[in-house]
Amino acid sequence: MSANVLPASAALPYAGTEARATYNDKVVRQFAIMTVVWGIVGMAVGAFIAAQLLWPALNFDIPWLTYSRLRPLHTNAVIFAFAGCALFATSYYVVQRTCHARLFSDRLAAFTFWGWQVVIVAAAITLPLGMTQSKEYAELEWPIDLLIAAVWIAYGVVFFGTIVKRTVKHIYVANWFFASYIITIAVLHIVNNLAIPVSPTKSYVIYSGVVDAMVQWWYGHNAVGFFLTAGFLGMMYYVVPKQAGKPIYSYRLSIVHFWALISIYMWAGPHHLHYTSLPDWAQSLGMVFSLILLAPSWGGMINGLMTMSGVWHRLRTDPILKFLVVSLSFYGMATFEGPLMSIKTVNALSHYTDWTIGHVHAGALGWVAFITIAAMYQMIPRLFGKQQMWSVKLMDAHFWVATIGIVLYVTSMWIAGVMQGLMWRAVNSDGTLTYTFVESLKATYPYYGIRLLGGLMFLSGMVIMAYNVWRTVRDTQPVDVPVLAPATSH
Amino acid sequence: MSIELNVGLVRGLLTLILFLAFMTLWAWAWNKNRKHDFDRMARLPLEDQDPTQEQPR
Repeated sequence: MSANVLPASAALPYAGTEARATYNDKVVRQFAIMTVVWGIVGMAVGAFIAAQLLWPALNFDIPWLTYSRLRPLHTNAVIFAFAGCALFATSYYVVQRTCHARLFSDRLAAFTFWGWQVVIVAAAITLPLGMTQSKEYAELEWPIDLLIAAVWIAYGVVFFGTIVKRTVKHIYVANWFFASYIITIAVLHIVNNLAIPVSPTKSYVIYSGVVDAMVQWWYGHNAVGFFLTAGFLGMMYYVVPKQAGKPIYSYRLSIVHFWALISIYMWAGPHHLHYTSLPDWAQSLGMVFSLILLAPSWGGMINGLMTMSGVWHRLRTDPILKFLVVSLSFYGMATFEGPLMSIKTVNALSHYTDWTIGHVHAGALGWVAFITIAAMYQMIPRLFGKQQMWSVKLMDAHFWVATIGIVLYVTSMWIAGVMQGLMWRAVNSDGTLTYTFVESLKATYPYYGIRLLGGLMFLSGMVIMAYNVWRTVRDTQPVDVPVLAPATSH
Repeated sequence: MSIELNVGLVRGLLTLILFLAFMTLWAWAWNKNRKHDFDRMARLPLEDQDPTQEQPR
C-alpha cells in the first residue's frame, strides 16, 4: 500500500523537528481489515458447530469436520484471530496517538502482523487434522507455540519501544491496560505451554495431574482476564472518550480499578476446578477472589458508561455509541454473572452445563465483539481518510441484528443450562437418577435451535459490516497522518 | 505474652500489607495535587484530531 502524506496545513500543531514524521498506520490498517475477515471465519465455524449439535450428521463422517476438532478451531479463531487482530490494531493505533510518536520499529511491527497471520493459518490447518496439546485455549502444538512466543515478544518490543519514545510526559491509562495485557499473556503463554516435544507434531506438557489442571486454568482464566478484559478495557478507554467527545469520567477511578483488576484476576482461576481433586482451600481462594473481582470490573463499566452520560441524545443518530453502550452493559452483566457462578453452590448447578456457554458468549459477543465493532467503525474511516463509514444505515442494521442475536443466544443458553443442571441433579426417593443424560439432551434441542438462530444473526451482522467496510475503503488511498506535536502544558 | 510466628500470622500480616497498599493507592489517586495532571492526561485521546476529521460536534 502506498500512502499519501496529508499536507500539514491542517490547523493542528505538528512536531517541528519531526515535521514529516507520520504514524505507522499501515500495520493498523492490515490488522483492522483482518479483524473483520477472521471475525467472519471464526463465527462461521461457531455457527457450523452449533448446527452440528442440532444435526450431528453435519460432520459428514469426515474426521476433519468433527465437533471435537472444529470447536477448538472456533475458539482459537474468535479469540486469537478476531479479538487478537483487533487488539493489535487498536493498541498500535492508540499507543501512537496518545504518545504522540510513531511506532518503535516498522519492521518488527510488520513481523507481528505477518507472524500472527501465519499462526492463525497454521492453527486452521493443524486443529482440523487433530494435532493438539489438549489444553483448552492452548491447543496449538509446540512449533506454533514457539512462533506465538516470538511474535508476542516482538509485539512487546514495538509497544514498549513506542512508550519509551513518547513525546508526552504521561502514559495514558489505555496504555497501562494494553501493557499489562501484553506482559501477562507472554508469561501465561510461555508457562502453560512448557512441553517436551517428541515429534514435530506432538509434545507432552511438563505438568501432570492436578498441577496441570491448576496451571491450565491459571492460564485459561487469565486469558479471559487479560486478553479479553484488560486489553479491551484499553480499547474502551480510548474509543469511549473519543466517541463521546469528552474525557473519561474519572481518571482516578481508572487508576484504582486498573491495579485492583490486574492484581485480583491472577487468583480467580481455581473457580474452573470446583469440586475436583484440587485442594479445597484453593477452590475457596478462587471463589473469594472471583467475588472480589466484581468491584474493579464494575469500576471499568461505570467509568465507561458515565463518560457517555451527557451525550445520550446522540444515541439516536450514532450507531457507534449504541454499540458502546450495549458493550459496556454486557461487560457489567457478564462480570456480575461470573462471580455469581464462581460461588461453589451455584457452580454445583451451573458447571458443565450450557449456562457456562451462555456466560462466555455474553462476554465474548456482548462485550468483546461489540467494543471491537465500535472501535473498527470509529478507526477504519480515519485510517482510510474518510469522514465516516460508507453507510450509517448499515451500521444501524448491524447493531440491531447483532443485539437481537446475542439476546437469543444468551437467554436460550441460560434456560438450557439451568434446566440441564436441575435434571442432572434430580434424584428419585430411592436415590436413583430421575433422568438419563439423553433425556436432558433431548430437552435441550429447542434451545440449540434458538442458539443457532442467534449465532447466525450475529454472523450476518458481521457480513453486513464486511460489506460496509469494503465500500468504505475500496476507492481510497490510505493516508499517513502526521505525528502530533508534543503536548504543551495546558 | 509472646507472639508466635506461624503461617497464620504471616497470612494476617500479608492481608494487612495488601490492604494498606490498596488504601495508599486510593489516597494517592484522590490526592488533590494530582488532579491537574490527571485532567491533562484524560484529554490525551481528544487531542489527536486527525486532519481527515471534522471537529467534534
